[in-house]
Amino acid sequence: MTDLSTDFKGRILAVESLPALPSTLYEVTRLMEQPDASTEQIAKVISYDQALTSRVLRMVNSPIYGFPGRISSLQHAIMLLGFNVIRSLIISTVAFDAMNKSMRGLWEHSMGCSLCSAEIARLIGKENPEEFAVAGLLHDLGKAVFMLQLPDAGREVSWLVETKDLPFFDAESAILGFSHDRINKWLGEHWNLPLIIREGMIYHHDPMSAQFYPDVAAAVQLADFLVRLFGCGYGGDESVGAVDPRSLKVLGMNQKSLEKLLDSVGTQLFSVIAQYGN
Amino acid sequence: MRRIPMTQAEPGMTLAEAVNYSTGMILAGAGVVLTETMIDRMLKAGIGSVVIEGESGDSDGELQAVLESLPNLFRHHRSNAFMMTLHNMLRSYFRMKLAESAAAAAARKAAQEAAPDAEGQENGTNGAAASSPDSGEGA
Repeated sequence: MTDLSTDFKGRILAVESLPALPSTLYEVTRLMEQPDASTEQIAKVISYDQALTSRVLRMVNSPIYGFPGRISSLQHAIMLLGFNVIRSLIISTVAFDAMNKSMRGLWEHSMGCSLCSAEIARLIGKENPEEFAVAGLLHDLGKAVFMLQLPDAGREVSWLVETKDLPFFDAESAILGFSHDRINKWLGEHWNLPLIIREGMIYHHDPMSAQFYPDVAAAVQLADFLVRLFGCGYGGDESVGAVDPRSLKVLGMNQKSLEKLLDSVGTQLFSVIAQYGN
Repeated sequence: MRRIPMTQAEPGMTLAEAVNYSTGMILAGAGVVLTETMIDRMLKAGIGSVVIEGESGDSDGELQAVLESLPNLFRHHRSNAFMMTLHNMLRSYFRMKLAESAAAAAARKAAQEAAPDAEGQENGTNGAAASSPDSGEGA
């Protein structure tokens, strides 16, 4: 089993077939590491890639981030969101392609999860809802990459989900010996994502194991639950995952704040469903 | 139709009401499908919100569907006490939302039924006011 798992790991991480990150990203990363790099310089580098620019601006202007007024310049976007979030958004443009190719509805599921993660962060008064949003957006990236890299194993997992009524997570474990949370860990390290986003991605099925950001992991777990509850997109199976009661405690939430959250995300999720279809 | 803040306007949405510049000049008429350029122009003109086609308050069907899907969604957690508590809380929540929505709809219906009368009365009064000089003249 261990050998098989190691083999799967190698094939999932086969770099030559991993979704390629836009070359702009390397330039942006290099600039960010220079202490004297300006927002203007970074914006300029991104703006050379028009498709990337429009995708980043689309994301920044989506209701997920909830900025009043339309943000039409990259420089403004970088100032509002910070380098780390912009960098993660560039990576998420790859996620968009991977998700669309691998599983119907996974992108909508991820968009919804991003929206809910940010809403939870705002509700409990966090100062960085954008980072929660990116963690939510990328929480199932491991699923997409696995389905793309190992389509045969992917079909076996889907078959188990359908015939044995297993949650996707358990079906992955049965076939691969590990699940997408582990793949998220490898991808996060491989792409050098910020720790806060990595922990949200890795521990959304087990927030209490997060060493530094259990709050982000807990928010993503709750967000994942809400998106499935409202039937927004498709996360691999039709059921909700267990919410750890300690997640609510970490987030400082009770029944009243949970109802408030339901009020605010419900209509937004329905509009994601209406906009992207199901 | 529904009014949405300009920041939520998206290309492809259809205007249900004309949008005017503060000078009164029409920027886009009712029925126009929004484009990116148009949204930018409206933002620059300082327009705060627009009325677009489509329902927003009409989510009862969706809420009902969520309520009905609860037992299936929670099927893996029947022996998890916390999840069952959560399930029951959600069931009460969605039932309450649907009841509130039904009450609001009933109130709207009652208001609508009352409204034509009010309008009729208003017209009647106007009519009377307009006709009295006539009758005066005729007399």
